[in-house]
Amino acid sequence: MSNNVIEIHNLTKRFKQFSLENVSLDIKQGFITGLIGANGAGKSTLIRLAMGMAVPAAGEVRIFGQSIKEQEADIKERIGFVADDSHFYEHLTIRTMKGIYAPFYKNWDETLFKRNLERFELSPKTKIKSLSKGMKMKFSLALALSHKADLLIMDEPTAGLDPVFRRELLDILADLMLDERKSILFSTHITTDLDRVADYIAFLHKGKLVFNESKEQIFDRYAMIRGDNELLDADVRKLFVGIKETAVGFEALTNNRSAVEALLSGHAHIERPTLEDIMFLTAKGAATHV
Amino acid sequence: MYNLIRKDFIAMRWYLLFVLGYAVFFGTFSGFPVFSPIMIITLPAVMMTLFAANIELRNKTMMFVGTLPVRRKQIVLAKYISIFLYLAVGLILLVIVHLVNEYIIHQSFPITVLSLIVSAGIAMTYSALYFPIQFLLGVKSSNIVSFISIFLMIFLISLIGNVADKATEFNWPILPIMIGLPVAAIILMYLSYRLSLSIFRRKDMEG
Amino acid sequence: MVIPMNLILSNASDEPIYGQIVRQIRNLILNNELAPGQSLPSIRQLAKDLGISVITTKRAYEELEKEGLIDSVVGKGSFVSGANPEFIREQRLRMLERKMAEMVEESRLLHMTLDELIDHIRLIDDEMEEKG
Repeated sequence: MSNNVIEIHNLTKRFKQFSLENVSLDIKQGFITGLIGANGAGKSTLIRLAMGMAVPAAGEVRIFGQSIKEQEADIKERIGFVADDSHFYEHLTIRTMKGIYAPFYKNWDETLFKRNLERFELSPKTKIKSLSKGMKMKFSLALALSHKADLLIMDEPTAGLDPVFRRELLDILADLMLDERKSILFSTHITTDLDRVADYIAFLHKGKLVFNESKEQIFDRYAMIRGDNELLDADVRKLFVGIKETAVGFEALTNNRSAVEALLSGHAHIERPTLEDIMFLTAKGAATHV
Repeated sequence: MYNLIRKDFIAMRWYLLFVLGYAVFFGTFSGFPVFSPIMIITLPAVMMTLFAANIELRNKTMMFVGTLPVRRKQIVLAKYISIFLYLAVGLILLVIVHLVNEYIIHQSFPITVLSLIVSAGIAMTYSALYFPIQFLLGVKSSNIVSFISIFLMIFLISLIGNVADKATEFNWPILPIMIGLPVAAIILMYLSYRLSLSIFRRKDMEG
Repeated sequence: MVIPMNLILSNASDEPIYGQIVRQIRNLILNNELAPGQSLPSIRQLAKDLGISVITTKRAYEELEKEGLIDSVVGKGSFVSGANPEFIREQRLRMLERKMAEMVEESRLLHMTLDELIDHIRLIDDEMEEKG
């Protein structure tokens, strides 16, 4: 029913420290997809590969149905990109920097940009080097939102933002999503931002895709179990993705909620996990089940 | 691609003032050993190339350019075409220096077509050698590359300076040089462009 | 055009969010706080206002549609279904039965007999009569 705005197919990229192996991933149009994973899991690499800024050892990326290798200029007209370190010319002013950026885009909307600057409380005369990290990100966002982009790609945008603006950012994104033709890909290791607002979550762990599902599906399947250590037997352990045992009890993650409910209902506390729980315990589980 | 070239000029605009000052100073100071158009055309072109590279290195601009709607081909081509614009700037500076010499200082500043062609030729050859190395070694070795390239420059200038001396000494025919040199330089730049492009296409963009 | 509804979601509750939405909208409809034919916010607008995923609101609306409480028209949005009073009454009766089952269960745990329970209900009814 819904189209894919990004199609990643068998992407492989090898570095000394780690590699992305055969990662395939589709990002649906009209939704906010959160890309989560620990630092070093491969999120930024994946995004750079998707943008054509890195060259894969194998695999291909299609955005808006076009190959990023062949039509990267046409594709990027329609992408607004925001990174946590946007690499502007430090010695120039906001106005001058905008003067460099804007002519590249056919759909640049100057009125919209001015409104965005006001909304983010930025002055055109300020030099880039005197902007805080958060203000740089806001400027980057103001630029990205001012050329009618159909896809917003954000690489760790909230690291370095105060909680007040983080909330405002999520509001801005939700506003964008009122238009069902727009899509957002949002990579972060701060999962609390996505707990509420994301539609789909793709979880990358050590260069591999653990899942890419709607939040509804994820929270139907995954559950946090807290209970006494006596409950832990071989059958129960098999259902756990990761577990944290202490002297006073255990805390575990399962991706088979119904099976666990059948076994432990009434004996252990079963509840909805946060994305952070899922990330943490999946990593823990993978570490022990080597 | 025009926008790519334009961005470098905008980022460099204060440096251009420096280049102007430099040109006027060395262009009017006749005591300086190499008192010739080479100083006003070639060296500024080289300086501006290195300035642009240095600004890009400091700001990690490549990571910004990579998000813009441009193809890798345009990124590489813009660098090569910029050389011609730098040479045009040098030409303007030369005119200014000539006027300053003629009407303010009242000393002669000889300009021959041959010297213009040689100056441009050196700058073009330099760029043809510099760019592939810059693309190959990438951002991390950029400082070393800039350093080496200054020596490259001095070598080229003395080499061609020697050839020019020999030419006047032995009365070599000028016309073949005046046509041959630019043609050779352009062919060299084109080959260099192809090489740079194939190197760049295979690399990750780095800040 | 669209009258704002008051929906309160709890993250702390173990009830899935879409369930909370379904329950609250169902109550609004059965208590006649949302009139038949009244338009509901689009799933995207609702998602934005509540700060949640559009997939969740979509799921909630689909559930309500299955229960016959709302109708969705492609291109126009979702509306409270102009269902007959019979249907509404039946729904409310079902909800009452659920509450009654809870009552019976609880009274058993407290070791009350059925007659004790009925007496208690009568007492409460009398009190409500007096209050008027």
